[in-house]
Amino acid sequence: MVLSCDLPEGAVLRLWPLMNPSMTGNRLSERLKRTKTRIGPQISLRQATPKGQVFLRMLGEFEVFDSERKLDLPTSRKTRALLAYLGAVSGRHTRSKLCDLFFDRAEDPRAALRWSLSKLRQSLGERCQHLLLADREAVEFVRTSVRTDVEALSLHAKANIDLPNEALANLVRGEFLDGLDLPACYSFHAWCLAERGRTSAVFEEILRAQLARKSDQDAEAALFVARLLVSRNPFDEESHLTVIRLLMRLGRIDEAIGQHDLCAGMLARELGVQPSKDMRMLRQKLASKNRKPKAAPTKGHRIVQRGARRIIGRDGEVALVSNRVLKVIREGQNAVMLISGPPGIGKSRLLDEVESAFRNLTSQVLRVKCFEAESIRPLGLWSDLLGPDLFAPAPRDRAAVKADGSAGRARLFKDILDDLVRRLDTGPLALLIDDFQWADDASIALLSFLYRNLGDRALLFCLTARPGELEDNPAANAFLYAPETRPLRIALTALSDAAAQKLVHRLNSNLDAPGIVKTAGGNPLMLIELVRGGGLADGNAGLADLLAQRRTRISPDARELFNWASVFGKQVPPRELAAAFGTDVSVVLPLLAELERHDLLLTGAGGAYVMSHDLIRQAAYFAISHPRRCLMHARIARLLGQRMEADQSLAIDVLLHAGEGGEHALAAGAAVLAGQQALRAFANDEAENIARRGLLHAAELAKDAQLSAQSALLGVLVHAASGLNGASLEILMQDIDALALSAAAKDRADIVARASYLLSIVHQERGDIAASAAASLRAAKASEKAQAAQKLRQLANTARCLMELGRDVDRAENLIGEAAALATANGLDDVELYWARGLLLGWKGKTDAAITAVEIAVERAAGSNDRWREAKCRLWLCMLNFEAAKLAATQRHAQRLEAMAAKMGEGAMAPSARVFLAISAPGAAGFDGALQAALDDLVAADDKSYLVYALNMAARVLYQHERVEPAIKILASSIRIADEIQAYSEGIHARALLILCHKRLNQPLGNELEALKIALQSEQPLPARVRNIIKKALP
Amino acid sequence: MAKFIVERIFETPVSDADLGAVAAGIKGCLGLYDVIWSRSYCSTDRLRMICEFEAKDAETVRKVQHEAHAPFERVWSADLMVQTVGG
Repeated sequence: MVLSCDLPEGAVLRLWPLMNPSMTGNRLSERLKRTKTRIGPQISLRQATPKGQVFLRMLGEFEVFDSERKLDLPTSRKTRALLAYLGAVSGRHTRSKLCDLFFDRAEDPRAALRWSLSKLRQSLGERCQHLLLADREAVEFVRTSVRTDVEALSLHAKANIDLPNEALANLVRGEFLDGLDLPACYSFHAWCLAERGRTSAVFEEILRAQLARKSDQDAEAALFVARLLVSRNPFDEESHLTVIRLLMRLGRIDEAIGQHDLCAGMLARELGVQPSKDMRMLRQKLASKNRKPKAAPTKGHRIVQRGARRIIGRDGEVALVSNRVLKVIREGQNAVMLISGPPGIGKSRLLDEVESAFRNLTSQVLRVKCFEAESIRPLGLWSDLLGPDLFAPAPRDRAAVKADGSAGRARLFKDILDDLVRRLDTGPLALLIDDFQWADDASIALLSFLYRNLGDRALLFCLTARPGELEDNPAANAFLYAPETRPLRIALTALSDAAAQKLVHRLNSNLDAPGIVKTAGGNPLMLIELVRGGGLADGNAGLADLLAQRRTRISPDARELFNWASVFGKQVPPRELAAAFGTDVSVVLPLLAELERHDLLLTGAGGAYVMSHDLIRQAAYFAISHPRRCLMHARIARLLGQRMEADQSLAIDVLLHAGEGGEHALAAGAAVLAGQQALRAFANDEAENIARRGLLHAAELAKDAQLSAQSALLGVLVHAASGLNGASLEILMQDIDALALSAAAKDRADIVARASYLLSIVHQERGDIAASAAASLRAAKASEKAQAAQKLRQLANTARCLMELGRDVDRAENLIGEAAALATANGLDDVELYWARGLLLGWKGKTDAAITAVEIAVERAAGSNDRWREAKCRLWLCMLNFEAAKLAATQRHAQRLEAMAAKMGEGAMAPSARVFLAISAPGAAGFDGALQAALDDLVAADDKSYLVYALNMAARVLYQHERVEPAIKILASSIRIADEIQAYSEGIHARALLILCHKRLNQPLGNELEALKIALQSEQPLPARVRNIIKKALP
Repeated sequence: MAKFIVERIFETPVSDADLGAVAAGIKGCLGLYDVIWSRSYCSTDRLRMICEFEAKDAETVRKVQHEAHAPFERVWSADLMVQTVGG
């Protein structure tokens, strides 16, 4: 028995049944008998979900169990997501918050919430509906009666008890709420991704703890855990190493080599790095052990070919659609047809029949498929149908949008109407839209407009949809239930047994048709998958499991390529797919052909590939661990991002992938472009949705980048705000005010100006002309201030550079005066101005005042997170304090500088700090080892200007401590380097010090004196510290 | 004047506008610090870049990058090696 933890008695015992709530009766008894030696003898069936309570399974597909059974959840994904959210987040949730999270697209969000709650009560049934508490204000799920597998996961992490591998495998059945992360509800989506990341991290923690427990005792069990770790994060080389070591322990050398090759290939292909030294050494060991390499036998697979054969078991439906097609064409009147049914029931296949029927009579058919992830792409459906050129040129400013107003959208719709009329003039037309439940609002508005305005034309709209998910799309529902739409509704149900047997026979006459038909339950796609698998399947295997099995029949490389394709989601461009896969198109072509042969990918429009079925994509996508999904999305975002500026239609894809991949800067930038594009299409709601999504990413950026992104995204929101109600405008104004305040605190007058301008627009929208005028005035002033701040920075920066170089000091002084006047007139402040002023004061010998000015510059730089300027100013404080013989202050600044420099990457800052630490150390008497090391580092960093200065300072210390001979040697080096780089003042400085040294030794001054006099002939200005040395050196 | 190579890595693909802004920033500093820009290469995926400069030392090249807010990974001195005729 291996039970040991600090949890209350009984807590641990609940864990195992919680993971398997559906496993009751004999199955659970058998399982427990097998595992009780590990878990503990006390476990009994009483730990299953008690009466009156529910168990929520959130890892993987969302499922709910009461004490007796798995509950039938509503078909609406939003409603299921609502239940998951209420179960996961304890406490009372206000109705308004839930409306914001789930129903912001609905015309009446509160009614939509009420409808969802009523569906949830039905699903929970009499036994459990009392757990859902709702009053006028808020909704709550009674937490004391709810258990979740996520809680159990956390308990496992805390308990750290030995878990059998079966339990671990059960834990990893999927990521948090797989399939419920509604991309169109951005706040819920963000919450879902964050929870997914958290649970994924907890699970990895458990796996690592289990690996540590098992690796000493049971190599086989440890190998299982190590493989789980690899599957979660294939880029973690340490996990691969563990797998290889365990395989070696088990004597499975061929497998170990295979694991090595897999890891090395993946690292090279996807990260562009070589395996570590440990991995290479392990490979050498493996090579020495592997005396009989064997080639893996290749399996042949029977492939079910898709054929353009007659549809089976749908004669009635085919007759219906054929009649409707004929009616449209003969009568010259438009019509809507809706084919609905659950996944895999044959909707797309029946759509093929519609297409074929139409094409037999006329050639004009346009077909498109909607994608869930793209449901926020405004007019995405029409862009795919008619091409992206339907967007009008960008309105330059608010005035242009105002001038266009709703007329702009009407004009866009009219243009598309005209385009369709031109097409209809040449003959009847069919618009076929697959997966209509994921169409965006703007596309549906246009569809409705076209349907209403093309009543007397031979135009057929044929849509397919999943009924449950259609309920989540209010715009689609509104169109389909509008009195004038009157669609012909064809609801597909299960195939009859006879039809199903006929289908099996057509696919493979050698199989046991009745058995397959019984398992498939009349679902044609499931039936096809069963035939593909030779009729063999676990009795409990669902459609998703069968689809997942299809991927096991292809080669490992093709499977990995398909994983990447599933992350792309929509259409898969081969070039980008190859780049994501870490190779070029010629390498992936045979793999793509293999995927086509297995009917996993189909060729789509424009040379891109499409998934043969969305369920197949889901099966592949959900099998990828969350950490890896993030990395893959990030990579795709970066790849697509390369073309985003040239092809702005990619912005929405970049936003989605970058959002999933945690690439916040890229996501925020893409949101700006995508939002502007939505505005151009007059899709204001979508623009607002996109901008709000972008703001979530902008909040993750560093302050400066954050301000710029927020300003651009709030601009999109303001332009999209036409028609917003008072409360929404108030919130928008608060957001803009907050931006202006943050920008003012950071001296970003440009952002303040932009924010004031946006405020003036919002006031105008509210009809508050006076406030609008005041905001415009503030914008103008802030804009002037921004220009003044920019000018000030330029003047002070040039002055400071000149002072640092010791050139054109008079000009620098004039520039500083000009900058100071500008700063006073506009109430501005700038680190460069204090810095330049400090250097000028130091030049003039006013060291204390110089130190004060540069200290202010340090404060300002630190306040604005300008690390480089802060470090540079600290270096100047070291110099000024050292020259003023303030050694304690020099030490203090040098220590701070050294700490900062360590975080700043390569450069001369760190060795410079160490030079000062050495020469200002208490009791420093000359050229010790620390100084030599610091100077060596300075030489390596290649900062000749500062090296000359440091050598001169070191010589000065030596001279002061009567160590004249070594000082002379150092000065010789200093003069050589100063002449080489034409460092005028430090060259003079070194020569003057050399004269002082010779004087101290009572040596003749002939050459040195002459050299100094020649150098001084150029009459260039010199800093006070050098002038003081010259005074001492010259008679 | 010695030759120096500046290596840059971008987290996200760099746009022409970003490159233009960096180039404009650097251009203003080059004269002040006696640095000459020779040429640059940007990878086709826009994630990496190398720039060649002539200057008195590496730190001056670094200073110019900092002044212009041009992010870089490292600066190193370099010798130009070219193929000679018949070589």
